[in-house]
Amino acid sequence: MVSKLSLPNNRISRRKALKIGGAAAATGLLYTPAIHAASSNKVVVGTWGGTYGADQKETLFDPFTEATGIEVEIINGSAMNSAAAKRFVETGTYEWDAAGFGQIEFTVAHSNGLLEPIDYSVVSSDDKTPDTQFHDFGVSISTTSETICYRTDVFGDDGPRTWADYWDVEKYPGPRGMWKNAYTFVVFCLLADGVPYEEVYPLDLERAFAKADEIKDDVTVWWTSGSQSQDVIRSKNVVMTELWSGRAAALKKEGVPIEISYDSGVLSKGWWVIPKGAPNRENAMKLFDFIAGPKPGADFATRQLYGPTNLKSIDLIEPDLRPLMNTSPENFDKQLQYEGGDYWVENLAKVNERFLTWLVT
Amino acid sequence: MTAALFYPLSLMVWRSFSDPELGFQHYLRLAEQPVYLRITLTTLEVSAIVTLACLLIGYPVAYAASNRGPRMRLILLATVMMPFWTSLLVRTYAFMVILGQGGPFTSLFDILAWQEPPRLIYNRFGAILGMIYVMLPFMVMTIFAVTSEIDANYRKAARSLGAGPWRAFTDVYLPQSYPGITGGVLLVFIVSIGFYVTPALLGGRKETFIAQVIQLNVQEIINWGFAAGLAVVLLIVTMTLLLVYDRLLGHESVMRPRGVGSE
Repeated sequence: MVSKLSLPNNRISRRKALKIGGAAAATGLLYTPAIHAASSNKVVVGTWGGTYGADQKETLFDPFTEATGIEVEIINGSAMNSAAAKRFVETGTYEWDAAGFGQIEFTVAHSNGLLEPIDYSVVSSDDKTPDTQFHDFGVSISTTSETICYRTDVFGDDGPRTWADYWDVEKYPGPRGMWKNAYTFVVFCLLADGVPYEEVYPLDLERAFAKADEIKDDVTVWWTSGSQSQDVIRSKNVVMTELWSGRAAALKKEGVPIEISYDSGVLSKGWWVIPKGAPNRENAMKLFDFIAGPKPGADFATRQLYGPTNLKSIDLIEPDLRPLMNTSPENFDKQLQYEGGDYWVENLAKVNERFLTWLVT
Repeated sequence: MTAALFYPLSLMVWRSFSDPELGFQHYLRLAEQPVYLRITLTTLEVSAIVTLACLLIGYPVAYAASNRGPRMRLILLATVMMPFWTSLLVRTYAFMVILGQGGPFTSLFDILAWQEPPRLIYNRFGAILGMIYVMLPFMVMTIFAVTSEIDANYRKAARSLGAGPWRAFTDVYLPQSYPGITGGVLLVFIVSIGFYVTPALLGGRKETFIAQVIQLNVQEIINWGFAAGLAVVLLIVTMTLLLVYDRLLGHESVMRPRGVGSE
């Protein structure tokens, strides 16, 4: 809303606008988006920052610059979601030209018409696996899985491996952690109730929330961020929790006594996208062509332990790291492959509202 | 300044009636779904408790800082201001360590062999404690700004006319500090209503604040019209409460500025 001030059709006097801008700037509340020149020799990417962003830089962006001479400008810790894309498209000012979205953000952004179609004359299929990597509006290089992790110092080797086990508070007592997130939780409820993978969609919400009631008082922590999810099981505030696979693998590598179960995991892809009309979109396509190749995919997966979507990457990953990843054959086959894109376009708001109602009651 | 406030505000109000289509759709949904009322009430209730607690803790601190000599003043104010030099997120995470499993309290409970010790985090208690810690400096500084200006001679006069120390406090000192109390209460309460991180990290499932719902609708579902509707409702509720507060308890408040700092 604030950035609308820069729109030419704004019916507001210049003096007034200056006054507003001055006051806003003085209070430090206004973020001023950088305006990027077209046809430059660079591409601006948004990243989460942290080790994830640092690994992206080292395994994806720096090699790209080396190979092509195109500079990659990194915006750290920027909002990277549909809301940001919508803001850019609505105001015509872009903070970044490309970013990696999660599956649901990708679905939402795409269904709202916020993304630039991918130019597959630039993103070549030669060294890639189009079936697993290409979408009309996004390119995928890595995956993530929702897993169940448990403390081995509590359960030994016989810990909860499925959502049915997670629900079984008699056999596996103790405080539990769960992502405070509607679209994953309702699926877990159905899996816990014995719904087979192929019948999960369209979701039976009555059944899901009836099952949800059974676990309500045993979920102690409804975590809201990746680092929090790691903290609560590292500190033993919970004895089991849902964890994103890369976060889980990192904890295990760190030496925290946990076991990761993919037995009723949910695997989804991350998507590199370009907000519609981004000024450096041509360079962004070139970036995608590069990072979707086998080596960058393998290098990134080696660092972050989120399995690659380029099947040609797998051979380039050290053999002893492969079993840690969500995409290794033995893990992959056990999991529910995320689908339901159309379902979520229709129902995301409704399911969220229902989840919220259930949660606070 | 007025334009800077009202222009974006009016854009937001307009959006709540016009995005994606013209009408009262968002307000109807807010009225039909009891969850939004419930979350609004939770937000207000927790914020009210935090405000009251900050007042009960903050007033004596501000009093002592104003009346117990320069040394005490320095120590107290430095202690109160210290948390300001650390980021909110770090402070909240520190609370997670202190109150959580393996922290000093759970260790103490273990030593005492307490069978079913109370949980200190991931519930209302944790959320409130964390918020008090964040908001206390605002309360103390606002009250201190007023109490430090109160002339000690007034109380001496009261004592010399035969009032006991308690009477001199309640009848002479306390009324002079009302502007500080009013300001502190307003400030703490209004800022608390907008909290997001602290209740999300230290609270349980029921401590879902309205800011989290707005964020969900802005960022994930990108239903900005509905998010704007939520914000407008919160604004109206807050304004109404403030008006009621001002009518009932307000002495020299922001709405009828008189006494602050004047002789």
